[in-house]
Amino acid sequence: MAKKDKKSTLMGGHIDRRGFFKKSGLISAGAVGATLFSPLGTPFIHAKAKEPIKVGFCEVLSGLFAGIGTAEQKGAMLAEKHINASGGIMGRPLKVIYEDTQCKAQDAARVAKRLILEEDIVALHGETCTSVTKVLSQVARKYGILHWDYEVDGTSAYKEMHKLDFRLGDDGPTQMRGVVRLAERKYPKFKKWAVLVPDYAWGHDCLKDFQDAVANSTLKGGEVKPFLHKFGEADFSGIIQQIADYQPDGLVTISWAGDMVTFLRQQKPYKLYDKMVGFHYGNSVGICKAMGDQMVPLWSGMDQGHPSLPPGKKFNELYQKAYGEWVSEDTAACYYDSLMILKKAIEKAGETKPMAMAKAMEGLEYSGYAGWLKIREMSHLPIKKAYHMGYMGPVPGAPYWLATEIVPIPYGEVMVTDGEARDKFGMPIPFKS
Amino acid sequence: MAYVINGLTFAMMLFVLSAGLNIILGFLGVLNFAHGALFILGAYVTYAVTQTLGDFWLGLLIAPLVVGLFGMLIEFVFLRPLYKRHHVYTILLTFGLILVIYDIIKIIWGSDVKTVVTPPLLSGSFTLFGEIIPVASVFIILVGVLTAGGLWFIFKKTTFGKILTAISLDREIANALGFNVARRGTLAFGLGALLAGLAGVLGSLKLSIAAGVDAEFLIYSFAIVVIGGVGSFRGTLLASLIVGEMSVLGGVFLPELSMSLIFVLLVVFLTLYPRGMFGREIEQMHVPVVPYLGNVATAFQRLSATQLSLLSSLLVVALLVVAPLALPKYWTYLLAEIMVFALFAISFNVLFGFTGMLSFGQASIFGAGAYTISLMLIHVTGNWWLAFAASLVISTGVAVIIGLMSIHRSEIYFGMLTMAFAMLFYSIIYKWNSLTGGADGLSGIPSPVLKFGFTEVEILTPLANYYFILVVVAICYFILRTIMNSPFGQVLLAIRENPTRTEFLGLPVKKYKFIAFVIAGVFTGVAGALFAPFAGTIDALASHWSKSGEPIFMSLIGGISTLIGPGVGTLFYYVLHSYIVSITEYWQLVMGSILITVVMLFPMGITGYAKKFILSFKSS
Amino acid sequence: MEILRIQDVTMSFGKMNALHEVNCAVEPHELLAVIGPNGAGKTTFFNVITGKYKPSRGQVFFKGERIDGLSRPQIINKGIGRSFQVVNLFPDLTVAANVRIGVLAHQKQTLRLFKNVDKMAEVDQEVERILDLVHLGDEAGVVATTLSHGDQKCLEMGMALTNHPALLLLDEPTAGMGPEETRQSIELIKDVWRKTGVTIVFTEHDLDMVFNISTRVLVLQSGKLIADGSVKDIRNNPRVKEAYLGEEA
Repeated sequence: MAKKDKKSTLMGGHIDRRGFFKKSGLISAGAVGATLFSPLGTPFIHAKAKEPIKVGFCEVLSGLFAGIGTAEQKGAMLAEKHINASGGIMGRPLKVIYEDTQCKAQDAARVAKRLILEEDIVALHGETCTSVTKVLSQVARKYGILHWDYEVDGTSAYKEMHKLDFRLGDDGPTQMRGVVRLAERKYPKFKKWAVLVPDYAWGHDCLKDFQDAVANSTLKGGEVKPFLHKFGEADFSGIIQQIADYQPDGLVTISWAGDMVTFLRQQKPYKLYDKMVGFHYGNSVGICKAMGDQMVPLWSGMDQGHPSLPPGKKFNELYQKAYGEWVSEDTAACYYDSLMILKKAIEKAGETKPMAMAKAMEGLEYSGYAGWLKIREMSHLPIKKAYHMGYMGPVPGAPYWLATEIVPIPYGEVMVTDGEARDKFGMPIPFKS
Repeated sequence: MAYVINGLTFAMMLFVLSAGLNIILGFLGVLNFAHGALFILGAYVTYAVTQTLGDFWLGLLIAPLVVGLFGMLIEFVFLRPLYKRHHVYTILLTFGLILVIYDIIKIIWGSDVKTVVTPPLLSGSFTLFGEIIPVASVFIILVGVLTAGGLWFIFKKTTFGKILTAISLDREIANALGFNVARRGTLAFGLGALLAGLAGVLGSLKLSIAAGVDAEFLIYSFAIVVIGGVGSFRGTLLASLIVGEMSVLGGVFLPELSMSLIFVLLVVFLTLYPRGMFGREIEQMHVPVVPYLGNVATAFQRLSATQLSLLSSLLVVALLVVAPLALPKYWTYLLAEIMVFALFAISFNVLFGFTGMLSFGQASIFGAGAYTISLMLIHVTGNWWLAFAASLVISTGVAVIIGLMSIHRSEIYFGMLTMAFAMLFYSIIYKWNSLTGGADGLSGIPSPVLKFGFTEVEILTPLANYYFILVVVAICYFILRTIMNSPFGQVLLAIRENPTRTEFLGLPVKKYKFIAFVIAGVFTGVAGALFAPFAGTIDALASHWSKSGEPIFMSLIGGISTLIGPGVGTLFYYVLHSYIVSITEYWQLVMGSILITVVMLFPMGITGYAKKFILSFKSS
Repeated sequence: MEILRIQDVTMSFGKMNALHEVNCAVEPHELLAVIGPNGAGKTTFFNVITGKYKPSRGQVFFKGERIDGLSRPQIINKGIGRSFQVVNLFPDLTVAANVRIGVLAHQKQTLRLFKNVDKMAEVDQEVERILDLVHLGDEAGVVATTLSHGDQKCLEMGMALTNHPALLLLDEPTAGMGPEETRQSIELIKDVWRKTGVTIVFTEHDLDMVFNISTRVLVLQSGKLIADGSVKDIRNNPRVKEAYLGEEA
């Protein structure tokens, strides 16, 4: 240490060390930033090759929900690989940049802005957590970037939507209506419903959706009783007892996989699912995988990417070839399709300007591993052929339970119509900007 | 009745976990924030054993041992060198350990939710008084009772236990008497970790296994150790029963308030009964916060702020003014955010580096400022001045309340009390959905529009935001600088150095600490008020107690002995974090390791080392 | 008027009496030594005066005003200064900064937030004056922990003098010192005593030093005051000799 000091003083004069550190730190940081992240350097490198189309995927890759995000990321990476293997988009390579939002709004805002300002992405995708989707919507709008998402979202995110914003997943109301439509067909006599509600926005939104769906069905007049549990609940015993005491006909669950697994394990001695029929919203692959043979038979909504359905089955085989295991989330196939849909939109538009891509997306049809869908022009929500409810049970040859009985519900019966999106959920349509 | 049995089950799981934390806190004086991570690690090891060997009972045996040994390794390598230093270092180290452990788990087992297959013996249930009792619950209660018995035996009957007790009461004397305090400390930590692992095995019977599930358990065990009292297993047992029952019954009858109630209890105990129900005071030495800057001949001729220091502050401002012209757009945005958090860290350090008060509650004040200005701008007025004023009032109010109640405790208790307030505040924000948006928070917070008489300035573009924030932060910085160079600032230094001596000069220390706390609170509130409109969105996590760890870490990296140090640390941290997150998915491992390295090897921080260099340079 | 009066003070901790019905009055400008074997209660004596403990029974009067039960800063501000047996400084601050805090406190400047503390001429003058008084004038810029033990003790005394006390309590001022340092310390105490007219009460083990400079001596044993008088009286007091049996006299 002493030698180093001497050298510096030999270099002469009074060096303000503190300022020097700060100054050189900033300048080198700036230099690093400029070379690594700005496009200033790229023209020289890419003079010959075609410039890649850059897309940003914001996902939750750490924390509690990381399992979901990483599975979806794998689906997208597969699509990216296939797209590039077949010549890219309009002859240009596709480059997807994945960023971890940690399911935190502020971190999401930061990484989204980095993707937009530094990486010059043309489109932004994401995400699992509704609160983050909202933020991504806002950031995309602010900077005039296309934003789209194939994950389940709460309707509270509709208010933030805009002309460059698209949702392809089956949102809360669709899933809750799916349960009710199934019940109308298979359990028309059910009068008492218990709903296990996780105590945050998603849970409350879905509860409301379910209550509305019941009220607007042949089951109306049925009693719907919510049972609140806190997110990350460690001890469901009190609630389980209460539900058992209530003796409902049907038990509706909307909690994420972690809480559901805890709930399902803890209710075992109480044999709730022997006494009532269970209905889970969607996204059950994670639960079935975690529970293995300890899984409990219940109905669950299914994305068409679910391995129980033909397109999803095909995707599963693809996934196994690439990753050596079965899909761990229904939505992995959705994310694959999501990227493909963007490709189709860009090809239809002939360019990557956000407005052109958005226009191309409106009315776009696509058939893939998550089934067929068409994007509606007004609300930017999807139309699909059907929403499927599957009764989960053990299937020979499968590492986790799959649907042993499938009931397809015509999509029109569960869809969030444009009118509803506007009047009920505050979607600002027609989108002005 | 069933609620009671189930509450008992949960309580016993908590007891095993908290007993471990109690041992570590009681015998080593270490607030082990990694305790939850050890708990979930135990669950994962159980999962691994049941998966590969097909036997849960082997898991019951192996998991606690593995976690215990891991704990001993941690203590020996990382914690031991830090004991003679201020307790902030061990706390930060355990923060770093959480990140590292989480990523180790991710690397080995991935992120999917896991479960352990319940062994057939524990799968059934029976009926008692008409209520269903799962066998697994009885098993957990049994293990809890056996643990209690085992601990009683160890600490009351064995030599090892008695020596540990003696050591805990006075480490110095024990050392002088020839006991190998260090080795026994390692064993004690190992025992604490073993209990965490055992609790994890129990947890694996009832819970889904995912890194992050442990967060709640950490908070509960912390509350239990405080309420029951350090050094008393009787207290831990009783407190576990109380907290366990409160949680279950609260979840059933008062779901809105259940979490908050426990924090209220925690605050009450720390304020009025810091010893808990049966415990004793945690032995702490008053260790200098600022590690003495080596053996240098003379300091500057002047006694406090020098012209050199003023010059470098102005140089920094000049650089910041010029920076956007030289840097790419994203960096303008990032630098603006850095400045806001630099203010946060600097105001925190007024308390820590200058007054010696380690507060974990600053996130609450930051959150208060952020939420107030957001709500004002969204619902009440477009006038930024008014919204800003309101946010200052509220955040200062929060600082006054926390300050009034916390100032009477010192050292580690002050830290725990401020943390308890932070947890309470967070739970209120999280629950008060209608006002704060709960976990989702508020979005669409409008950018500042400054009205000057008849003209309006809208702060919309990233550049405008940058300069706006720069102006406000610079003003705040120079105000703080003036205050620190004033007679009042000297008193704060005196309090940091020697509160007793300060009193003997006729100065009521608590009064000055309170004023310092409020001053820091004002500027923390300003940081929050700047942040929300800038980010456009704010959520409950902004006021989570773990967020309070960030200014601590940033201050440490940058150097706690200077005013600008934390600012430098913030810059360094953000640039590093930004870079690391974009190149690896295992950023937790990298950031955690960096945190640990800095804590252990570079405690003086960047400006501390710079200052040392200047001092030696000037004297030669 | 007597400057300090200890009236029937008893200080018990549980069953143990650290002080038992101690009575004494101190006149202005005395140089009073309090001695006694280990555990006699000397430090408790000081602690009761400076407000660390409230006496279980009895009262303490300073300049006719009752001070037992008041908070420590309140008591100090009435005009009492104290130095400690184990050096109690602000280790990371310079010598001048150490003294300056006390000066600021005395000049009631400590709540000024916006005044540059380096630009306060009156404060600097007073700091200089005190440093000269305790023979540390040349060490103003030295960081306190790097001082020699003897100099640290001088600094202790300097800090105790910052509030212009009428009464100075010195707790074992020569503890841990070699013969040369002890001599210097005694010189300093005498110097300060003569120059400022302050009343000094100090506790000591070094009986030579005690008999050398004190005007009056109090002897404590097991919390009781067993002798009170001039040096000559105490020297020849059989009870005192008995109390020190086995100790070096």
